[in-house]
Amino acid sequence: MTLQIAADVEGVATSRALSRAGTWLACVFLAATFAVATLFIPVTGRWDITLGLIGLLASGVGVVLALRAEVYWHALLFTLLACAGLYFFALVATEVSVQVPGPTPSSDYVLLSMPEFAVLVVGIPARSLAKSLSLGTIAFLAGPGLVQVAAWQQGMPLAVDVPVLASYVAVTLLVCSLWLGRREAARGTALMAGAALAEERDVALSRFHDRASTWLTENVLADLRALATAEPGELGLEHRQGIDRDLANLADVRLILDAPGVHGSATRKLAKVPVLLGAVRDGEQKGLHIRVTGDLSAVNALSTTVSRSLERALVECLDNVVQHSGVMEAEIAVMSSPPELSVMVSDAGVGFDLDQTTEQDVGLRMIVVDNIVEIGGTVQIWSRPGAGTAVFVTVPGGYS
Amino acid sequence: MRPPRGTTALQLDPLASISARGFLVVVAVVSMLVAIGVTLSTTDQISSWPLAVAALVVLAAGFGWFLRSAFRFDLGVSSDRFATAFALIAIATVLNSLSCLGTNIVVRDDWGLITLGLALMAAAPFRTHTELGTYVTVSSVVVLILVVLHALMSFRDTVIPVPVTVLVALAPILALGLGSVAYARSLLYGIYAERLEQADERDQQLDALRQAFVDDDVVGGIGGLRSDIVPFLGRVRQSGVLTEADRLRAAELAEGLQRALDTTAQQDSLGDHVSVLVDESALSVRLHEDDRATIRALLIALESSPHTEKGSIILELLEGESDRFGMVRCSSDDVRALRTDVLPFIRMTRLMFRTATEQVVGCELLVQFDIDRLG
Repeated sequence: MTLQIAADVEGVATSRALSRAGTWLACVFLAATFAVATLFIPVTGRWDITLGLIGLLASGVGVVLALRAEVYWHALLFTLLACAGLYFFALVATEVSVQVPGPTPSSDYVLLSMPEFAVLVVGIPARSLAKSLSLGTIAFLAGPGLVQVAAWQQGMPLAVDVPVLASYVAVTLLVCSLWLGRREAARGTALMAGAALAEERDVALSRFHDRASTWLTENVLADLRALATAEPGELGLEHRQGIDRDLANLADVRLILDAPGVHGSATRKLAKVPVLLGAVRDGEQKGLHIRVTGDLSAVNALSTTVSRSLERALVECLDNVVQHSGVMEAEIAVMSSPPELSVMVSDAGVGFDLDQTTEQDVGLRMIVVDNIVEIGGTVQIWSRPGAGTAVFVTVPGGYS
Repeated sequence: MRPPRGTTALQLDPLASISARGFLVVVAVVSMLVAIGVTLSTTDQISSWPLAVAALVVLAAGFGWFLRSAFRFDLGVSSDRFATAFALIAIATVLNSLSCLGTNIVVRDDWGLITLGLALMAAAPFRTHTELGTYVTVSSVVVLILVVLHALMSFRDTVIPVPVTVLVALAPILALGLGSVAYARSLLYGIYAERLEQADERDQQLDALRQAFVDDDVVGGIGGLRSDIVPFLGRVRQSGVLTEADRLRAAELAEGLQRALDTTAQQDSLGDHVSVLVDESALSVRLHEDDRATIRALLIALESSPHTEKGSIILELLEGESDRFGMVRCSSDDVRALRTDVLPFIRMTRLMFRTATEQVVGCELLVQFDIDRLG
């Protein structure tokens, strides 16, 4: 988890996501208003509604640009553009509503409320609470505020638009809660990221140190001891080769550090393959050392159902290694051969005789096998006493 | 690269659940206030009070279930759990609509259209955008059916064209629903991109550390390798003859190297964050790197809390014959406030260790965890 944790420390991803959400929200409300206003053109015979629609489009452009703006004053300018467009639309819409025969609606009617909702969201992606609240408030005052002015100018009965007012309060509350939560989360993630980096440094240095110590003990120290106990005289071939090897490696210690095992836990390379991460972490928590190889990214292309079944099967396989193999090392190899993906879990443990073992004794719970078969996959087991075990799971899907 | 299918933003970034839960609480409160407020302000449109009250009760149950799922440590808001919450909130929408069947004046007074959309918005961090897309479709169909029903039963005398009513009714659910789909998708892709970037950064850090290790000539510094051993070996190799003096010198150098190797054992930096480290079995350096990072984060959080009594953080790592466990103790004048400060990290501990518990004993916060794996 920790070393694999991805955290939106700077809030960039959240801000961008809020911008996208706001864009969709605003566009739907504006599109609905556009459609309703367009429907009223043939009903009322007032083609000047088209001018109002241009104002509505300008409002939409302003909202979208304000939501995407990265600089505060750009967002402010676009917000004002959106409000001006809304005002122009409201002038036309209220004039038509007052003029057409029948009961005259008041200034809180739905054709005006919907674009007002759209304008209210301009502040949500801002990168600080103050900017977010100030943009939202300016949008509220200049958007719905100017709509009321337009209604007054056209002689429409004025009314407080309770849903719009309530929406402003709700958006303010939601933005505040999001920001407070984000602040707390950012503190946590920054701390976690710092701890993970410190850990990385410790682990790497520890491994380098261990590797160097082991090499020195097995080579230089052993050679010195051999020289100390050797008979004086001409150096033997073995001694000459040993000294040559020591001097070469001491001249370039990178060779010593490139040994296997220096790169740490298997979960590290699985940062990009969360589906395997759970199974491997579970295995490691049980004490297993797991080596993961093959086309790992192909696993990401599996469907949700197949991924879940595969993960369950892998957890079960690794559990079997812990319980029955007698060794604490296992290997997971991923092989992609579209339209199928195969994963082999193997160990070099005690193994067993398949012919003398019932399905129940195999240990791999039949429910797991059934699960794989149900999704169109297969499970094959190879094992021999003393020669380890390999479970070959094939599932549909995956790409390289 | 796109994220794996079926992955939610919170699965990639569990700490974001802090803000997601806060957002959900506010959405739930706002939804209940809207529902109660609109019900009370439109009493003249209600034709069935039992249905109106039932709608509010079911809505409360739906959000209650949603909140309960979000605050659970184990599963969180799983697909099934959200389906249950959504079903309850959708039923509340239907009951609310039916409670004013025949007497409804305008469709915008139906609070269900808003609360259903808000529930989808709050679900964005918890569920996948594909799932949310399905829920938006289902919600739109439900709303469409309800509007048609009202058009036949309630709005017969109105001059507003039916397509307009349909558009007005669908707009909130589509706006909030599609907004939530966009949010979930964009957040997931953004966090996934950050994860990939972090993985690259870690690889770069490892390479940089390796280079620094080489540049600092740490190996050459052990036991006077560069100053004594290398010249000695070079001379012996060049001469091709081993003398009695060389034998003695080799023994002397071997002894010195052995001593140097014994004393240069890697120091454990986990102890930097505590006042007392009890670790007789040297478990600390053998812990799995992920577990160590989790403990380190908890210790740093305790260190940085203003409620922690200075010099009171104790880490005990104990190894028995068949089990290993750890304990973090910390004293405070206001231990409840301290617990609140470090709660996200206690949750992380619960996520990382198979069993982890926390309790307040007197003025001391105690976090205990079993250690199942070693590095």
